[in-house]
Amino acid sequence: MRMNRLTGIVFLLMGFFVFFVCPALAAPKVGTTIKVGGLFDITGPTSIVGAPFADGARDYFRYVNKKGGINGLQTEIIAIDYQYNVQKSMSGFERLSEKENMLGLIGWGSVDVPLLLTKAEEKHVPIISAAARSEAVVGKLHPYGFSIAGSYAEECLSQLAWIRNDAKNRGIAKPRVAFLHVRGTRPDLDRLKKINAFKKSGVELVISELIHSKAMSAASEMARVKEKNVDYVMCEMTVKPTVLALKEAKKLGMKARFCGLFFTANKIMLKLVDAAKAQRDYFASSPVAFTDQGDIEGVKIIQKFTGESHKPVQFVAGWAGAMFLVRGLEKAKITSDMTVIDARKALRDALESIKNARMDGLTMPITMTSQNHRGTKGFRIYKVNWAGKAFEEFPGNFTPSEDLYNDLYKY
Amino acid sequence: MLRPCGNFKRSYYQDEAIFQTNFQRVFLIAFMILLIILPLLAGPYMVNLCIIIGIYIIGAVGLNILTGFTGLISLGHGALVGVGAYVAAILQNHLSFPWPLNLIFAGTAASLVGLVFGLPSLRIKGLYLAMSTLAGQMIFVFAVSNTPNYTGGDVGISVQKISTFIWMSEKTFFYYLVFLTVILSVFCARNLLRTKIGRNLIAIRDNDLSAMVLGVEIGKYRLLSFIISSFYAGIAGAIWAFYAGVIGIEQFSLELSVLYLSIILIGGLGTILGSIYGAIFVVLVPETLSNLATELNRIMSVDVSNYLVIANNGIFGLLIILFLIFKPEGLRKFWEDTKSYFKLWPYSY
Repeated sequence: MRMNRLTGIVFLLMGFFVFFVCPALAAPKVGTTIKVGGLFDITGPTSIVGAPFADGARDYFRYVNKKGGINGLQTEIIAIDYQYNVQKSMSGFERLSEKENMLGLIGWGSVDVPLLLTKAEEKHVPIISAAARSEAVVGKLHPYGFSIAGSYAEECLSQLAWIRNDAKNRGIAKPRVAFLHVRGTRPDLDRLKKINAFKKSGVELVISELIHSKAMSAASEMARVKEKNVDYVMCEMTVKPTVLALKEAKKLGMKARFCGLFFTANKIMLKLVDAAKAQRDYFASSPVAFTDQGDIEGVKIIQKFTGESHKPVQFVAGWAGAMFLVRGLEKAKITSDMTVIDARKALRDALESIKNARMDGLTMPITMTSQNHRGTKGFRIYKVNWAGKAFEEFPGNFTPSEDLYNDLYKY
Repeated sequence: MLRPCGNFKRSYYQDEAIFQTNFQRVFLIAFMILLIILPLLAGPYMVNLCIIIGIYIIGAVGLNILTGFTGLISLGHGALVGVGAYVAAILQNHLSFPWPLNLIFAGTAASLVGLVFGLPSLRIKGLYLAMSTLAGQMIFVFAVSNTPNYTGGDVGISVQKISTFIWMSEKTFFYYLVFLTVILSVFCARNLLRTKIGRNLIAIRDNDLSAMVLGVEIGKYRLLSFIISSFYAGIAGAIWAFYAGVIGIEQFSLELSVLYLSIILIGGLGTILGSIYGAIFVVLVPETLSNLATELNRIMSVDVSNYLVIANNGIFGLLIILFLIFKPEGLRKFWEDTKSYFKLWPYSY
């Protein structure tokens, strides 16, 4: 019995050494492979956008490796599925920064990133929010937080600019607007109201309705919207509630035009709208290009590399985010004998000095400074072409006014 | 030296002793020493995992008192953790009280909310009580969402950093804070169950009608169980808020309540050790699988990461199902069976 106990203790100590001591002894140098991290929701509640986003980022790093890597070094993206769970995101970040020695991190920019920004500063890890959904990410300057695109609220400002232009063309002097939102996007509505965004954009907000993201029907909400006789409906929601709203709109015979977020700009949405025989007059805003736009250089590269003519717009966002990170890594002149901390700091400085990055036309040109870590302000507006089952760019410049844009971050 | 073959007890005091043998005492002391020096040896990644495990242990011990020892099912434990987190955050941000006081206030506030959650238990039990605690969880989400001036609403709030020792890294500080809190929590819970209160709780769980006939005030003790359990949840939430630095409503959703229930089910319902094993399981197993998937992806010529991510979830789910089928008493029983096997080896009996 004594031998058994002794053996148990020896095994326990060996396990302790292997799991705890060995990792702590590793020297934190960059090495022959540049490692970056990715925190993606691949199987969680937002996986409909998270999974293609992760694919886009991973494919871009494969593309870079195929082209010879960064300054002669190969790259590796270590993707962690955080399942939209903040605790998992936090332990994932610790693993990527302490165990895997990542130099930079790419993430969607939603629930987890505000939490990670504090940790990122402590460890000097630049975080690229490729789609930047959260105001907390883009709203103020975080030393290690970078966003290549605007937030939901900024996206709404672009939609308002589009509504004003479109209404003018349709002969509507002051368009009446309904605002549909899920719980998560309500703060955006509050912020828009506080800065008087609707009035300043020349539109009248007549009703706002909450549709739960897991709702089975939007009948009563849409009936109330119908009563208000609106010209436009802004759908700041995920795919499912948006489809429910469009379905009810069709049933009620509404003539209003609908517009929605980048979140909904994908082929799944089109299929669901088709299947539900829903309202089809739909527009979506997006900070990145669609793969339906074959004349854009970046789209051609994606199509050639993946061998597929269509990829979801979230894939393009992942690809563009990874591209921005790689631009920084190239500029930082990372070498294998640099310490990880030095390399991270060099990457941050390099990202801050990026000027007018072309991004192969996938986004508007991106410029960062030490005072501004927000990438592009521009959102494109796309209209669904039902014949070709594709999104087509709606011509015009829908960049919000500088005043409104600045007001947004006063609150 | 002659030693008795077996572990005989000659009194009820011996039977109730926390340490049944000297080896247990020595083993625990050695294990404690190991845990004390761990931050000096392990990297921040491991220390972070230990902190998360510790926070889960505190909350799970609380739920085990309610569900495992009193037999009351709660689907609102995540909300009570949230109450602790939000109260700690609000006090930390707006009042200049020392943080340990905020920690105690957070636990107390959660206890008060827990008392309200527990009121239906005076009349209902079982699935009906589960539904009423679920309603409590929903009300919590609604309340937080609609009080943005205090809680940050759907966006969440940052929590001011607590003052730590200058000669210690923040992570190491939290490690020791969690370590001490876990020891205190486990010690209190273990001893609580040896008191009259603990025995009354167990009597209510085993048969509430018989307990009542024997003179146990079941309403009072059920509420007491809710209060104690919620205090643990509040403390866990407060430490999480201090550690994370940012809290949001989605961190304290129904999923968290279900996770806590899974912890005590996997670890072993009605045992303190079960809460510890369960917390270790739900943190380390997915983490190990995720690490394995990364390594596997590195050695494979094609990118299979997406399949591995899905496989990870599948394996984790499968492990839970297998445990519930083959070891319904949880990991604690598994550990005891394994110990017994080696104690008796090479004989079967």
